[in-house]
Amino acid sequence: MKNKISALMDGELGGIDMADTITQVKKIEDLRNEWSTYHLIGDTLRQPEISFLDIASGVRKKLAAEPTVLTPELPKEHKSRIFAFAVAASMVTAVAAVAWMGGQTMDQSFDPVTGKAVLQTAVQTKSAEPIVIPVLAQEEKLIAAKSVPQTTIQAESAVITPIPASIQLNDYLFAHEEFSPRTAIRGVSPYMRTVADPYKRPIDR
Amino acid sequence: MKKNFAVVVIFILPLSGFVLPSFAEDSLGVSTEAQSGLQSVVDASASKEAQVWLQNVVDAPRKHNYTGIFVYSSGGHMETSRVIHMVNSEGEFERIEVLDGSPREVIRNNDEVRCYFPDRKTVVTGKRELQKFFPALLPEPLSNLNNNYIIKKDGKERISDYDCQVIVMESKDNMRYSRKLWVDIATGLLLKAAVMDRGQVVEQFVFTQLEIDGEIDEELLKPRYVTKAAELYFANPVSSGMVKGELGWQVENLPPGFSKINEVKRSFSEKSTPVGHITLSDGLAAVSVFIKPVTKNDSPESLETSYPRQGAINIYTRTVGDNVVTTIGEVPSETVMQIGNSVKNYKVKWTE
Repeated sequence: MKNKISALMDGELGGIDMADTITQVKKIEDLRNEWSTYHLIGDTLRQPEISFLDIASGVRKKLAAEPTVLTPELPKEHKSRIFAFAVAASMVTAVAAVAWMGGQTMDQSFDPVTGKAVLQTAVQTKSAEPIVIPVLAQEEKLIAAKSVPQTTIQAESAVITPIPASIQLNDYLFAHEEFSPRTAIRGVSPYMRTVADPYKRPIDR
Repeated sequence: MKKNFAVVVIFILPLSGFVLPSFAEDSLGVSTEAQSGLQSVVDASASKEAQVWLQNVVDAPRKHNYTGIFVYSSGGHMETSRVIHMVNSEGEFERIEVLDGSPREVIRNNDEVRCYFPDRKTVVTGKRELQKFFPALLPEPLSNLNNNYIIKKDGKERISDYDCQVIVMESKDNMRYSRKLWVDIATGLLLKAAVMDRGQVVEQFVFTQLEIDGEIDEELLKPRYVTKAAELYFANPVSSGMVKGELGWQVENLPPGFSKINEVKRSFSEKSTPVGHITLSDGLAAVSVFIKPVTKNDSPESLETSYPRQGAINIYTRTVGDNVVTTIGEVPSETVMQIGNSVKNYKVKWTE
């Protein structure tokens, strides 16, 4: 269900799935909380200054007392990069070309300051709607629940920047396509997956 | 007299279709087994007919020129492309140019495929050549599809002004997606195809404009974006350094209908640790399992997670001992999870 809420938030659900999820969210309070938490996470990562004020009242008071905590230390790209991971991971193969161009391979260590391929991926994906991956959402929620100040969130985010995995996944996706038996029945779609452009996904929240 | 006879025949033929089964049922008391036997004969012949259509789909691109515009969509993402496809005595030649978003181009000369990404100055090459070395990757006999899919003819529909026969490949369970194909009746070319998950379209492509069997100017098949080859970055890391063989890993609880078709150890770059790659297939849908040791670069959440579906692809990652197992396939998420969860290292048991 969490996946569905996340997908709904990103405008990825359609038809029956969407209707179902909305009905469920309306009905069940826990899901509504989930829904607002996901929005909070999204807002926080995009505009920490504004949305962080919306959490628990205890946090609000703390923040009021310590306004400096709100200053984001990381460039905005870095934040979208966290989500860029999920986007890139689930994309079929075009992102891989981006990664390849940067000459990144799976065992090369990731440098958060100079990682070229990473930056490229992030920039390319910035316009795409982020997908909240459940694991991350859980962690963020936990953090929010504990009323940990903003700086901690940033530290967490920095530690778990998962870009190397996405580069590796891109390699995997290429390999998978390459090793899939080609029945012509698939028509031209295998090629289309190969070059599908993930960055033009609709932003229709 | 002759005239009358002809009239009688004309009336009997259409009637017999309706009358005979009920006659058999009511008066002769045919057992249910016999009826279901009859039904399966009917199904088998319908399926056979549908398979002839599938064979046409396979053969058609080798026989016909075509040019057209098609739309590819998955999830909320949609893209328009132009395709030019030519056949001559030397084989098949094709250029696909994506018309939306960043420019991209696919050039195919028989088995050799090149994907051009001009704004990244990148060319991805040589994908299908591998099949020469891995015969298991060649298209499987279509008859195998019957084990996992119910293949049947549906109605007729018009696509891009061509009359098409609709063929449905309905999955027999929820472990795989169903597919629907719209096949041009005159040529067998595939004009529309959809991947469906329980009635919902997951991914599809459709021609919106098409000309079949026209003359093709060979100039149109040349890559449009390539100016100086020296400026391009050629990439083909995935096919280097492969060793075929047993990996010591096994998928113990395969979903019904899936079987292992290939197993290799491969390096994605010169420096990297080899990764085990097992390919599974049910005759139509493929699933890849990648196994690599956990390294210090692996972020914790990349070791145990599944990702939102994109198009028909699902991805699931987990750790088994000191290894990361990543399962990727154009199958529902339950299927990648079942496969991923049943990957076992059996080598450890008997070598140590």
